[in-house]
Amino acid sequence: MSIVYLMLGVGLAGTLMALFELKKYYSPKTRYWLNFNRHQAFPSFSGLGSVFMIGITRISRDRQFTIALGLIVLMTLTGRLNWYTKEYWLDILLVGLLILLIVTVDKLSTIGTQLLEQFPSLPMSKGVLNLAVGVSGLTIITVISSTIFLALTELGLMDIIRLCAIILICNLVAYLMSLAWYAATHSDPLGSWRLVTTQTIVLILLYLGLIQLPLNFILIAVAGCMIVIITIVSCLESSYWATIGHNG
Amino acid sequence: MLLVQDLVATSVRERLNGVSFKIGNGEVLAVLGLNTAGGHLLGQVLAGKSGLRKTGQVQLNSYHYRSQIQKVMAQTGYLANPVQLPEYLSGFEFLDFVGSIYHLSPETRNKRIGELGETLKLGSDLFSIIESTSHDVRQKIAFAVSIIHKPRLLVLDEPTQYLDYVGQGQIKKLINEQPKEGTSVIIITNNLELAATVADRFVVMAEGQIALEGTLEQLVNQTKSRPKTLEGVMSVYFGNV
Repeated sequence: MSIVYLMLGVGLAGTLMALFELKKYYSPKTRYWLNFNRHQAFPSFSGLGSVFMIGITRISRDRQFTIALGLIVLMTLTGRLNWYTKEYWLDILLVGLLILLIVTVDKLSTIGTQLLEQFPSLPMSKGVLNLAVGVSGLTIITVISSTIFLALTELGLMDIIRLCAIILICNLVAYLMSLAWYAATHSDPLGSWRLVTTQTIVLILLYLGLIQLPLNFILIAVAGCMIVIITIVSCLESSYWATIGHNG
Repeated sequence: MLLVQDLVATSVRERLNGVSFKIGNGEVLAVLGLNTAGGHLLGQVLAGKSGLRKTGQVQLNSYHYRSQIQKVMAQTGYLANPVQLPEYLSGFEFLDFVGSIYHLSPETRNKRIGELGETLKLGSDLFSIIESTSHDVRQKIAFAVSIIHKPRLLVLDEPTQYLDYVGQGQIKKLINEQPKEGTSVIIITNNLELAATVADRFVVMAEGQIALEGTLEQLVNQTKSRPKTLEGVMSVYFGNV
């Protein structure tokens, strides 16, 4: 049950942050949620889709990433097959995934800045670019780790889908947490209520998802590590998103 | 129409001290001057670059830069100097990406990329990864990026750098096509031959201010330069080399 408590803790922390946000100074001029809508309206989802694909392309054509991925697969297989390291193959895999995540974030983190530095007239804010690129990085890591887990463990497809759902939900929670954390003021009470309502829905989904999972040690370890990593990464990424009004 | 009034802006290397000018639809304005005169910074401000400290009024077709920057950006194209493109994409992919950001349909994007590739004679370079292409190909791709969405205001910072005689001719041809569609063009350049060929009016900048402004004839009359060319005007104002 420890993983349930861990995730409940993450969700509750986010909700608490949102509640704190309600007490912040009310400013009719700063319109984070309205900015969010306005920015989404012009570049359109096709624009976001293109940025997502740019992120995927950036990684898939990167030599360092390809080498890191090859080494990780090699290390994991060696660790799994070698009698001496058989017990530690999961640790090896997690370290490998961490390296892969660092490489991915390193490669993707500068895309938005570089694009807007060269093409400031592109009608897309740094926040939107970073969010879409961040999601593409997350997708790559989720796909790779899910594939490895499917191949090397006795976890079924449904378990992996649940695991992915939890990773994405945690990402959303982290985003909402940073929204509450970085936005010093908000436009109207509706913005905050929306935030709190979303947090609550996320929490319920999280709980329902978790209750279905087989709670064995491997899954707890994997989920715990990924949650910590992804929460930190998405917090950093979404800090731009939360301050979207300033990045115009 | 672009209206710039009392523009004061600062970057690390340049400063604008109360710049004011107006440019009508379909007009081509060349901004000349020494490298640190403020032309480069002016281009960045007009392209809507964030993080620059600026005051004054800038307005494009009734949209204010301060309050309606998204609408301004949707109507603006910008060629930066120096050009740095995402090296992991091909020219086609990058043009397609920028087109999608500007809300162009896939068919329109394909058509525009085809037209631009044809005019700029990009050939198979359009489909090569940018990392493996030469400077002149990158310059042409960056130019194509700035006009793919048919902007109302086009800001070009040294559009012909790295280009040979033929490449410069292709760029001139595309610049000359812009006014026909009502696009206002601002060219920031040290290439006096290019400026003389394509521009209707000229602005000579010095120390962040507009020192001279007008048509070639007006500049010649102001400076009483001989010969009656842009080079003559510049040598009178800045002194012979």
